Amino acid sequence: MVFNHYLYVMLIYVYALSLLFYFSDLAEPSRRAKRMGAGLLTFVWVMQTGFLIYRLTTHRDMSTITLFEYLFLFSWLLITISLMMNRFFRVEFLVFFVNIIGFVLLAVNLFSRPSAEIGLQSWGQAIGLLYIHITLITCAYAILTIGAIFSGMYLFLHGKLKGRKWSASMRRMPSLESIERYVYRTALIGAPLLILSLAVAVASIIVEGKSALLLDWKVFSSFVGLGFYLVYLVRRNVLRHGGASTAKWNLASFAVLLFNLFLNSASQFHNWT
Amino acid sequence: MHIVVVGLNYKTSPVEVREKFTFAERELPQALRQLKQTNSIMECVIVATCNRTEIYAVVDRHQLCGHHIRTFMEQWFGLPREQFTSHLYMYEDDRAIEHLMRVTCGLDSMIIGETQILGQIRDAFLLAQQEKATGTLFNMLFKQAVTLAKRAHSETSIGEAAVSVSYAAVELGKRIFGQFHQKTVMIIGAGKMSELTAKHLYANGAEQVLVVNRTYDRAVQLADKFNGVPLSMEDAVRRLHEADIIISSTGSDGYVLRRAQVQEAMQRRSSRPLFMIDIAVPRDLDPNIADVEGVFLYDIDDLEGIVESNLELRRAEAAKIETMILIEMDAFRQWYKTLGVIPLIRSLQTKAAAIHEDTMESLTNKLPDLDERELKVIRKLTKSIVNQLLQDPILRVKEMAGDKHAAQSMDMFVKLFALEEPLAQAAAAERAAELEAAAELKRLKAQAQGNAGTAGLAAVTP
Repeated sequence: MVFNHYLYVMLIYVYALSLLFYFSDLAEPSRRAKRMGAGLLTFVWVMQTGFLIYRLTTHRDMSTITLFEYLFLFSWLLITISLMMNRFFRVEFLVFFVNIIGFVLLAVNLFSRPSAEIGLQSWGQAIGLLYIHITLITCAYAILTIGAIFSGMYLFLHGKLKGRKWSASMRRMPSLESIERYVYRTALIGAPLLILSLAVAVASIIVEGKSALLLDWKVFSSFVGLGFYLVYLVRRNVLRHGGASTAKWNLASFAVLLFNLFLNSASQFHNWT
Repeated sequence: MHIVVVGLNYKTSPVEVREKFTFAERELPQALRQLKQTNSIMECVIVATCNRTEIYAVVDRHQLCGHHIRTFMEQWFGLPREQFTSHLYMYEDDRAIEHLMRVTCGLDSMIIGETQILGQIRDAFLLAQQEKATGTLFNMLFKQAVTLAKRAHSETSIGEAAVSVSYAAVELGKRIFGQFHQKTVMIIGAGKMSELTAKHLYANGAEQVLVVNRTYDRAVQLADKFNGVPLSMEDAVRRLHEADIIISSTGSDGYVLRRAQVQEAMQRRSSRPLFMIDIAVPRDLDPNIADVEGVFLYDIDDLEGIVESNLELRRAEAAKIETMILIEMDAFRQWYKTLGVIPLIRSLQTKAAAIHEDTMESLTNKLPDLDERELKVIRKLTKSIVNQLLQDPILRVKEMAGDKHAAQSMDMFVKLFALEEPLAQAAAAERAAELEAAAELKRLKAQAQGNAGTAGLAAVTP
């Protein structure tokens, strides 16, 4: 247990160090700093992967998932996607910002509430559906988080170009059209995942015969969040609204999703915060 | 031996002077041969570009070497030295090495960080090497300078940022669109700058170029250069929505395009961004166009601001390269100091090898019954003893070559190992080889001249 604790602390420090190297490279381009950052981040990912495999193989009883494990998985997912994107696209800013979020989650997770549980025991028959729901919603949140970061990057670059304020950092970002495409693609992948996740969640509620829960705030706000993303897609593809306008809407949609997270405490059944 | 550089460049002389000191490419081999035969010069490289003419030389003494090089220039260009001496600069040793490295890295160029000079220096060196005008020093120095320059360009961003208005426009376009495939460029007017910008965009993959001009014939003329489509101004307004990039540079007093026209075009563009560049003074494009959503409007001041910002960046990167140059200069100095010990080490190794051979021969005579395998083992082991014994002295003498009292240390080394005679023999052998090579070259030249004379005679004789 003590050993585990020191391992986690080491993980946080190495993660922080990798982000420092990435930041250093962004501030003053340096191949060495970038390589160090990427190397350390890969090391963090390997450690996280090892931990997850260990938990999977030892934690046979999946009727309870601790919030610690859940957020650990989410952080791992963010790192995985950022590393994959960095491999194929030159998006150092994205890697940095995604991992800031991942790091904050991991640090808060480690030092604040490792023991809270996502209790699935009361969901007898629908427990399998709930695992699918949790997996899908986690993937959706991860991808839509990246979409939100891209939206932020778009608005930053758009503001700079529109305001005719040139800086060296702009050369290191993808082009405006490329970023807009990435935002769209994350929404195109994230929204269906969200739909599937909610559909499975509704199915699990119905299977358990707890249809009254469909009137819960959590369910309502989840659908509102989904609605926002669908409106984004309509505005972009059908109404052909400009990139800045759709990027703002994408950020607003993500804000609704974040608000939806905080609604866990107001929920009758989704309250494990 | 000393390294010197004598030359003139765009900083020290105007083009009217520089153009009198150009070397035509076909003349360079002859120039190198003539320069090599000049008094005091042991190695030479001539760097001749549109912005500089420089003669790099290794000389045996630095008194009068400048005079000899100026004499060569007088004879070659047929101009009295009073006409060009004031434009010449001359650097020696460390300063010359530093100058070469700065030039190769592009730090001395008109556009700081340009990469063309690297290829020019490399070509100049390779030609000199081919003409056997270079030796140990320049073979090492120029290779080091070229390698350093390649490293400087790859490890810093000195060559990345655009430092001309037209390239700044291309760089901005890349920030908006990423790449120019399937993009349409519209040029309004016939300004040189807009033509150059369109040329860069077309070279970077722009698919279609629409050329608009008050005079249709002029539009046709310009459109031909890009396989483009000439348009009148009325057609241009009608087809404004097709353009992704609009470059305007007319001589018009008023605005050529107004906000309302662009707004209407944007409604037909389905949210695709529009990049507009106004290079004209007074401006062609209504500044209120910048408020239209999806439009990015830049004028000449904005582009020049980007160029200035990029130049600042290049200067900052240049500071990093200066540090790399200092490190390389130090490495060259260290290598140069070890040059003197190489003949000593070679002599010692030759002497040791000779003693080893004599000993093995003596062993074979005294023990004739030894078989092949046994002889092989003994030879290998005795060779190992010799190498191990020599290892430390060789390492130590290399270290001592960099010391203050290097000369005394090397003298002591020669005395300790009794290398006076082997060294003298080696020097004599080298001199004989040089004389033989010079004689052979003379013979081949005479033969070539004889053949040319015979061919000329054959051409004349029916």
